[in-house]
Amino acid sequence: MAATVSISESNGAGETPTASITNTNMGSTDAVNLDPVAYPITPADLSYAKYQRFNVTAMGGSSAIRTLKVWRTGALGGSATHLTNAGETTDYNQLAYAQPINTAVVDADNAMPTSEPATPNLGIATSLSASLTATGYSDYLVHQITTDAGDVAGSTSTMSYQYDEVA
Amino acid sequence: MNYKFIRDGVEELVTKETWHWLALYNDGTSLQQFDDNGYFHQFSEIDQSKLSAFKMMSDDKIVDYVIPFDQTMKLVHFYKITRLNVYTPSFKEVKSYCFGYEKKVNNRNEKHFLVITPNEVILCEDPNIINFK
Repeated sequence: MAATVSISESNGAGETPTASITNTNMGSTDAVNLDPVAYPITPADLSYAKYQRFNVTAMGGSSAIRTLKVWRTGALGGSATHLTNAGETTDYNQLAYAQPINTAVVDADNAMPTSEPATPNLGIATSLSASLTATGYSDYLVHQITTDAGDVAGSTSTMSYQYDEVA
Repeated sequence: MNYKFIRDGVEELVTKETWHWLALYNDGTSLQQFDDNGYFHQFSEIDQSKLSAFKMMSDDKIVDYVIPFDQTMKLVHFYKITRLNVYTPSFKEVKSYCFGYEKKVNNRNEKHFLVITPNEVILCEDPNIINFK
């Protein structure tokens, strides 16, 4: 097999990581794989922030994982925005884990790209040009949705991920 | 078929890729990524000081892609893995095989890549210009 790479999400005050998440739904609680119907975002509120990482659990013969990219597609609806710490070159803000909140996360203020970025926008060990050469994690992808009082429920957008693997 | 790779004394199993490489040396020898002896070789094991050609091959295709090399060229090879629309019914994973070389020309670092996607082969200076959607 090639390297095994999945997305991990961390939650809670003491950081509980969950490997291989099954969705990245945003909502009004700090929980992994949450049900957005049970935890809808009230218009004008922010979602709880997500703290997610690329998680390499096996190298599968490969020597490096690098050039991490994240982006979203689909309409957010209304005037909602999807903000993140991910960013190309100097826009990237490496953030440490903090208990997810539903107020604005400082330095997670870039718009999530709506198409594949031209260069990496998520770091490894604080650098956009670094590599993972053994099992481990990327930096945190921190992202959250902001909404407006006029927004209505039901918008859907999806995440896409990309990485380079040196075999 | 799985091939063996030993990392720090621990065996890892590597499944043969759709596209895999063969490095041809100027002394008549060669090294292939998935060796006939059942072992997997990393890209870093290629001795670029005597590389005369780098070939990408597939067991399922009737064509190979070959780049002739001289010692002014630095070989580059990696996979680009793209996961689109994750956690949805339209999820798709695409693996592209990127290979090419860097070379100093008039003090400029030139790059030339071939990118084998599931649908086509693209010649470019930087695989990052290919956007997946």
